[in-house]
Amino acid sequence: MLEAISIIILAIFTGSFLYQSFQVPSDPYRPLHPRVYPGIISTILLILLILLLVSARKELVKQLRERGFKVKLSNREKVVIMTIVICILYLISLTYIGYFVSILWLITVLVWYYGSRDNISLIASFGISLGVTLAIYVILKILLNIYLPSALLF
Amino acid sequence: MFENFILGIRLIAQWDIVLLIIFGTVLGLLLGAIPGLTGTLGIVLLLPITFSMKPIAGIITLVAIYVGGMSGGLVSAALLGMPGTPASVATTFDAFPMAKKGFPGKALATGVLCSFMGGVLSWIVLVIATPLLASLALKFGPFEYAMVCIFGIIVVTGMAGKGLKGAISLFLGLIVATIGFDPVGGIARLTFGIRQLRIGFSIVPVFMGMFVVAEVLSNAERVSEKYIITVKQDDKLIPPWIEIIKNWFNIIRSCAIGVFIGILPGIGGIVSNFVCWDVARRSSKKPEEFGHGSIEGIIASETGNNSSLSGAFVPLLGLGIPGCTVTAIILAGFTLHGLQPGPVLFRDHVDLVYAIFAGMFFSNIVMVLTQFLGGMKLFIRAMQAPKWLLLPIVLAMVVAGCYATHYRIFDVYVTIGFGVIGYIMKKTGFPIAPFVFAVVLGPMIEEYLSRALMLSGGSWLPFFTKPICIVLIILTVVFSYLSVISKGGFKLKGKAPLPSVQGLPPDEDKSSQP
Repeated sequence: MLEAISIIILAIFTGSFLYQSFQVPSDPYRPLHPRVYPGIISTILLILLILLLVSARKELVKQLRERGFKVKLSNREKVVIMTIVICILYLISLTYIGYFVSILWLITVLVWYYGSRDNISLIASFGISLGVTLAIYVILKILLNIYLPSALLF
Repeated sequence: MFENFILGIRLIAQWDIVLLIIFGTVLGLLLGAIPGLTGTLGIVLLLPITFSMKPIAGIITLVAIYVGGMSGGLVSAALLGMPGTPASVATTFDAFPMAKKGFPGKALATGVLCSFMGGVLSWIVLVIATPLLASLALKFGPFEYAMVCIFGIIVVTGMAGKGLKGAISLFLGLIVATIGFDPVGGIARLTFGIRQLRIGFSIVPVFMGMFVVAEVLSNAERVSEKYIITVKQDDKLIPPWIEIIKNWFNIIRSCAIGVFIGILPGIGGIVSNFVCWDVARRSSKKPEEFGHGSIEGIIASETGNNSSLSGAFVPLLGLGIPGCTVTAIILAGFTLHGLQPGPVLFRDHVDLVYAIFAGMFFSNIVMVLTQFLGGMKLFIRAMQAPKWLLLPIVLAMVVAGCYATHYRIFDVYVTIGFGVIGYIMKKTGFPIAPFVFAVVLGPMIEEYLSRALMLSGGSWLPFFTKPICIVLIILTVVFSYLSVISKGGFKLKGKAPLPSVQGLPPDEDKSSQP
């Protein structure tokens, strides 16, 4: 199911690229116009995607008949989705709050979430996170003098 | 030459320079070992600091970081399945499965020794044959470069062995590479109105997303496991000498390929790592072991990427043309000190050139000693930490590393975004290697094709009349043919029976139950 959705999204994505490549102005002084190369690549990719969809149709139809459109996530996949959600929140936090505060909560949350099976408490997670954040601060900021995103906070 | 060499050794035989070489090599090793922080980053960071040093001290420090960083990439490639540097991607194919089987020490020791041998053998070539090799690189024009790039992506796609999905992955990468200014005329394309996309995607965030963040997400599924589940009792941090000696031809061949690819500007370690691994697989008596912990694979990939390091210095020192991003930064280091690499440097500062040669050799020795005298042991112990601790730290470091390459928050979005794409690709069976390779080589293919056609007035004929192009076309056709007739060729319905080479550890998901 994920494969079918991926192929369809990819096909839409490629189609929009093909359309965009037609919008690129041509350069009459160059044998290989700036629109030609992406146009050719997009066309070939679209053909390949159609071929893949055709070749995989039996398997896809079988899957659809067996499972329908219901998407049932396993526990492992839920962990990944949760990680992606945390990462998105982290990106927002990184932009508006800054690197060090963001990794402090990111590491706390992830260590606590991942370590729940090993009974890692939230306080222990925070302690670990504080240590790691301090170590990263000393190494990157003080020793290596790397400039890191600082927004509202440091 | 011998007198010049003595002059060079005298120049570096000072305690401050020796200490700087040791510092640079160890720093490179550490940065290379952490996914996201590359030796390149270390060079960029130290570049302004070297301005205050003597020219020889500054440049040798940068060279030492480069040597250490290239070897450091092996550590996380072998122990985490995440390449520490882009040039270690193919190393993950065999070193990580070997570590997973309980032999992390053997995987690391083999890799370190082969890195050293690749570094030393290619160094000999560098010292002896620089003028000859530089003249060979001069014969390459846009037609030849375009063919080399096309050959590179065909090799990688064929080697990924995922049939139609491999080809889709390749073209998807080529599309992503076209986003932003076109490489010749500078016209912004396919940006969808997003301002940040006008300069396209940087390679480091794409690489780190596809290989490291995707790997973090894959590992999140099995977060209660350790990376190296068991270390077998007979696993020792000693290289398997007999097996390495048996692979003498593999080492020499990988070294030759690595040096040759390293010489070609803009290509370097990433390509040589892949090509050496693939050539070793194709010529092996046990190709089925590749991707599952083959020692031949580790030997080929690690010898190859370290050999290309010396190769990249040939055009830099001989012609003043950087062979890769890192040598381009080192070139900036030369100009900071008012030096211009090339024939003039050989004429006016030959002692400096030979001091660099000597420093590079010394740095290789420091690298191998650091690893065998405790470095590897320390790394293995560090990587035995539970995943719930390692994964968040890796994520935080990758973000810092990707941001620090261009100081753009957009690059962090790109890293996480491509991480999710990489994870989905892995889950749905699309190989990652052709994609990332196409992102690297795509702009080069377009640029060289465009330049070549401008030179020929739009004619494609020179591709079939130039001798080097003809050889490359034949090689491309042969590799394509071998890919098609091999089990994992471009057939529509087939599943890849070749090792699951996706730039990620093979077949792990199949064994895991929800």
